[in-house]
Amino acid sequence: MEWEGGDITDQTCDATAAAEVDSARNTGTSRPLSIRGEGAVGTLGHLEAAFAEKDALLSGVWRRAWWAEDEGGHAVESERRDGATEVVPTRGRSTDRASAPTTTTTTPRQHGAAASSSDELGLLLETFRQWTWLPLRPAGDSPPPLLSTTVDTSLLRKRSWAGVQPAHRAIVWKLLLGYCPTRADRVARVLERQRDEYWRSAEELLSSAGRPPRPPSLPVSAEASASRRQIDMDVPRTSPAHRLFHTAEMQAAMKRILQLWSVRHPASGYVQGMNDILLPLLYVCYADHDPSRVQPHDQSLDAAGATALPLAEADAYWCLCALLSTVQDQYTFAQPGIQKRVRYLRDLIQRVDAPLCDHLDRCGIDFMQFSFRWMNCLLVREFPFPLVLRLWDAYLSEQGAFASFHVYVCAALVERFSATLQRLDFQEMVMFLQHLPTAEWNEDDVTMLLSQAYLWRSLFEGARRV
Amino acid sequence: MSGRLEDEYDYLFKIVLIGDSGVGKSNLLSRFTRNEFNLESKSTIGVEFATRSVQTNGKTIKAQIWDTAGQERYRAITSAYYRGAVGALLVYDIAKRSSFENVERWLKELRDHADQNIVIMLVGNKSDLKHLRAVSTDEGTKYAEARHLSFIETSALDATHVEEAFVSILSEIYKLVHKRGLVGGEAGAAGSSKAGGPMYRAGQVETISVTDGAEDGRSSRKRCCG
Repeated sequence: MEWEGGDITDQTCDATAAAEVDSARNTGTSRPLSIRGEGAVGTLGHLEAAFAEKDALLSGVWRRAWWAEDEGGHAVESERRDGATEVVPTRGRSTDRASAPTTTTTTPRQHGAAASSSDELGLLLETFRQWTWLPLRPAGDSPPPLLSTTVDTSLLRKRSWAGVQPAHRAIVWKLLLGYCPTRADRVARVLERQRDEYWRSAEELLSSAGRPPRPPSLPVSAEASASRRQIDMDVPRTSPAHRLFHTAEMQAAMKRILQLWSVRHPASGYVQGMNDILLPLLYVCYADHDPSRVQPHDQSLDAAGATALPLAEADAYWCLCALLSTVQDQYTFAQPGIQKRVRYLRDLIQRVDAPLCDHLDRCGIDFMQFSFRWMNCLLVREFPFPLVLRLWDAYLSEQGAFASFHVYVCAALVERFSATLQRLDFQEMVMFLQHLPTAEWNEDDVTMLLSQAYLWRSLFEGARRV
Repeated sequence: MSGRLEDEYDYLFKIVLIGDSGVGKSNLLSRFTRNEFNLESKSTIGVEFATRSVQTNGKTIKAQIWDTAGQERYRAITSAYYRGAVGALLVYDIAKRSSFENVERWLKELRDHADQNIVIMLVGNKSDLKHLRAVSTDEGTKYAEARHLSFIETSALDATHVEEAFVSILSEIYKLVHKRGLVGGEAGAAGSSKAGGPMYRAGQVETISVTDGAEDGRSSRKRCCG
C-alpha cells in the first residue's frame, strides 16, 4: 500500500493566492474608499496611481501618533533617528479613545521594499495591523504609509512556527490564512470589502430568518433549519469557562458567523465542534484591538471592545472560512476526513511505538474512541486556551497543517503518554485519553509536541509503508 | 480513573445513551457515575465514556456507558458504538416536543445498528422543568407501552430517578441474561464469542468484555489486565 502523507490533505487551499486574485478583481463595485478620501474607486490601475501619489506626499517621517494620546489629548511620542516614531502607550487610557487600537512602534517603509529582517518584520506587522483597524481611526487619520510593501511570508511562517506574540497574532494569522493581503497597499481595501460583504450577507440572512414566513419560492431546507437550531443550542454551550464568549455580544456574533458559514456551505452545514474551532479565531481577531488587555475571562466588553467587535466578527468569519476549507472533508456526510486521519494516526503510532499500539489493540481500544474529538475540534478542547493559540501559530506556519501536520501532533500527544497508557486497562485508557492531564501544561510542552511531530513528519510523510 | 477494586464485578454490561442534542444525556451520565450536574456542560463530540458498578440481585454489575453526540451528522460514526451494547437509554427532553417526536428515528437507528435483543428504556429527562412540560407523563408511558419499552422520567438536575433508571435497565438486562441462559456455566471466551452478542459474562478467571464494539467479528476479547 502506497502511503503518502500529502494524501490526507484533500483540499489544500491556496488562500493567499485566492485573496490576491480577489484583490485584483476589486473594481468599482465596492464602496468608495473612505480611507483615502479620493472619491469613487475606479480600476486597480487608478488605485495604484492614486496610492503612488499619496506615497510620494507622505514619504519622510511619520510624525503623527494619534493612537496613543495621553489623558490630556497630547500625543506621547519620541522621534527616532531612523525616522520611525516610537510611541509610548500611556497608562490609564480612557475608554473614549479606546476605539483606536493600541500600538507600540511604527516605521515608514520605502515604496516597493520587502521586509526581511525579523525586527523589520515586527515593525511591518505592526503597521499592517494598524491598517486593519483603519475604520476605527478618527477621520482624516491614517496609519503610516506602506505602499507596495510586501510581507515576506516565508519569514512570517518561520516566525509563526516558533509562536507569535499576542500583539501580532491577529495580523499574522490573517496574513497566513490568506485573509489579509500580503501587499500593504491592498490591506485596507480588501478588508473593507470583505467586512462589507460579511455584514451584507449576515443582515440578509438574519432578516430572512423565519419571521415572517419565507415565501414558498425561498424554502428553507430541513438541513438548514436543523443547523440553525443546533447552532442556537451549541453557542451557549461553548467553552463555559471563558466568560468573554458568554457576553450577549459575543454570543450573537458567534451565532451569526456559524449560521452564515452553515448556509454558505450546504455540503456539510454546521457540525458540532465548529463552535470550538471558531473560538481561537474570534478571540484573536477581537483581542487584537487591545492585545495587552483583553482576556478570555473578561466578563464584559468595554466601549472599545464593542466598537471593535463588528470588524473582528467579520474577520473571524473569513478566517473560519479559510481554515475550514482545508479540512472540509471532516464535516461532510460520514466525516470521511476524520476517518482517514484517525486511520493515519493509528498507522503512525504503529510505526513509532509498536508496543503501545499492540497494547491498545490488545485492550480493544479503537482510535476513533479518543481521537475523533481531536480531529473534529482540532485539539481546541484538549489544551488550555493560550496553548491552543500557541499550537495554532505553528499550524498556520504552513498551508494545510490542520489537515496533515495535525495528525503528527496527535501522534506525538499519544506517544507522550505511552508509558502511562501501557499500565492502564481499556476503560482507564479511554477515560485518560478523553480527559488528558494537560491543564497544567505550559508552552514548553507544546513546543516539545511540535518538535516531535515535526521530526516524525520529516521521517514518514510520503514514505512507503513498511 | 477507576481504582482496581472497582474492577471486581460479576457482569459487565455496555450501555449507550442516545437521543437528540441537548436533552441531557451527558448530565444523566455524570449524575449517575460521579453524582455531578453541570448546567453549562459542553456539547459532546463523538462519544464519551464513563463506568460505574452497582449491586443488584446480589451481583455486582459494572455498567460501561457510552454517551453519544446527538447531532445527525455524527450518526455514521456513533452508530459503530451501538455494536456490543446490551442496553440503550433513549433520552428525550420533556420540555421539548421535537425531541420526543424524534424518538421514532432513534429507535430506527437502534434497529439498524444495534443488536436485536438490546434492552431499550425510554427516558423523559428534565422532569424538573414542570412549568415548561411539553410531553405529558401519560403520553410517554403510552408510547413506551406500545413499543414494549420500559419508561421512566428523570431529572439529572435534581437527581430524581437517575439512579433508578440505570439500575432498572441493568437489572432488566441481568434478568434477561438469566432467563435466556446465555451467560453462566463456564467462564471463558468460548461461551460468549458470538459476534455482536448482547450478553457478556465478566469476572472470575477470565473476563470478557465488549470493549471493542467498533470492529466486526472481534466483539469479544479478553480484557487486558495491564
